[in-house]
Amino acid sequence: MDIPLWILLVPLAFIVAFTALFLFFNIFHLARYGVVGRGAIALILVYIVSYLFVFVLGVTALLDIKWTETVTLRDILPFTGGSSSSFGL
Amino acid sequence: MMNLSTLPNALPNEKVVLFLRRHWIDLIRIFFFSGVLFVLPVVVGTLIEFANPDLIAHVFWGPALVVTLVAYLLVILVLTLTEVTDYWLDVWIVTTERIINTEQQGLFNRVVSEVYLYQIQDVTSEQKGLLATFLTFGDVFVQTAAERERFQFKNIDNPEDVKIAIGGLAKTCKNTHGHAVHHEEEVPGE
Repeated sequence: MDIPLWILLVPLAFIVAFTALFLFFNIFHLARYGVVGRGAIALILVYIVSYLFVFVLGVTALLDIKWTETVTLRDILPFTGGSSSSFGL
Repeated sequence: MMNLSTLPNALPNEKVVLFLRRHWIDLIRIFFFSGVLFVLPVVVGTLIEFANPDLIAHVFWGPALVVTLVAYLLVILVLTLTEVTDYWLDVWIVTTERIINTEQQGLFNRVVSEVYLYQIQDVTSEQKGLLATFLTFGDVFVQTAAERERFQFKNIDNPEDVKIAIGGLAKTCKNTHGHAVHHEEEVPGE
């Protein structure tokens, strides 16, 4: 059975959505309940920049992979004698 | 955002005397643990490369590792930011009339309570441990006559000075209201 590699991106998309939601709630809390001042604004900027940094870094790493390729169960599971015979966890 | 010059339900001539957050050591703790968690993939990656170099080049497990790493980094980052938000939003405001206690408990729980200075019966400062003694941070407990949990200023800087300041303010306030205030002090190591 052929499994497309892009299937790995599905759980990642959920995690990205989940973390983005949490980021939003963090920023919302700071904007709503924080004390007026440069500190809260600086913190919100740090949150956005740090998240974007990790996100862009991740996307850059993911772009190097050919997601259109397919793999078989033999490739994935070591005990079925897949292409990576030295694999063993 | 909350403005210190226009507090909610502010009384006439009420002024902010102290604005307190947890000691910076709490922030260092957060960044230390986050730092360890951020470095962990490097250690695991090195171990994998040493134990099984083919795994990273594997047609399925290579991309799976990259996806896992990206997801892991995003989760750790957001957890760190949530802890920082928690730290930032835990504030104690002492005014000439009352104490406002604001505690963020996680991302979806927030407790805001206040006590009027004339209600205060007892103020206690507490410094526990070597680090707390050296860096002068600790807790301040404020007890009122009411049957409620005592107010706790957690891990604040210079708890001793804060206790004295609150005690002084409470005394002034009680003189206005015709009561007396009692102070209690706990010396570290006793």
